[in-house]
Amino acid sequence: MTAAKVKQDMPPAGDYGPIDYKRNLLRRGLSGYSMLALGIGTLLYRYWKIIKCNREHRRLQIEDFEARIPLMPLFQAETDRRILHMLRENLEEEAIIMKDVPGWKVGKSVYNTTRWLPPLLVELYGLRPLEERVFANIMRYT
Amino acid sequence: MPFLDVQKRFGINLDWWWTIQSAEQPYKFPAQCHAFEKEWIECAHGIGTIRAEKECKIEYDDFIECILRKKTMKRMDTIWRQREKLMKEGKYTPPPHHMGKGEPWS
Repeated sequence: MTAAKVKQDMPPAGDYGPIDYKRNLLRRGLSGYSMLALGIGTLLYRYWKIIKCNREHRRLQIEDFEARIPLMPLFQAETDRRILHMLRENLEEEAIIMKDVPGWKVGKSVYNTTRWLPPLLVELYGLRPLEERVFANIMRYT
Repeated sequence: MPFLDVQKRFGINLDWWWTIQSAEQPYKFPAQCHAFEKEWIECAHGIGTIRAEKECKIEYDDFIECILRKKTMKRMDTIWRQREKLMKEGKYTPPPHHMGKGEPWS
């Protein structure tokens, strides 16, 4: 078989060099305990910072309330005037609309008591376009 | 438990606030029909259903009206229908503040 030399793919002369197969994890960076300490330390620092920020926020909030609370009687008086004005207008309109209906008492209260009840949205905006009532419904909760 | 009032014995208030509308509420938010319910309960307590239906009819009607608002809605409905009828016949035009063109109130 060695008569004709067949060209084969053989390793280079001098063989290959040594192959790196052993474990090669670098021993770098912080150890486990110190990373844990760093994490917990960051947590505690941030907790303290949150507490301080919340207290500051609470102080600012109290300042806002102190601005709002003395003005509340003024706003309430305005709202009351407006509601009474609207009820008066509705009463007059009702008198005009229902003047031909027999047996209708204008402004008759449906209750047996004479207590003041906060009027419903329907009572205030009943004769107005629907958008006003929808808007008032939204504004009631803002 | 029926004969052992546990909450009163220990002085705690776990669920009294959801028994009736007029009970002591957390944060003191009143119900809308608080007054009517209070009147009705004060009238009707301890005298039995048959007597209560006869004697406390006024308070009961007001309370139910406050909750369901049937009479209010019926009244508004009558007014609306009459208004539509008159507008269709052309005898009534709503004033500007009822058509969305009123001035801003101050």
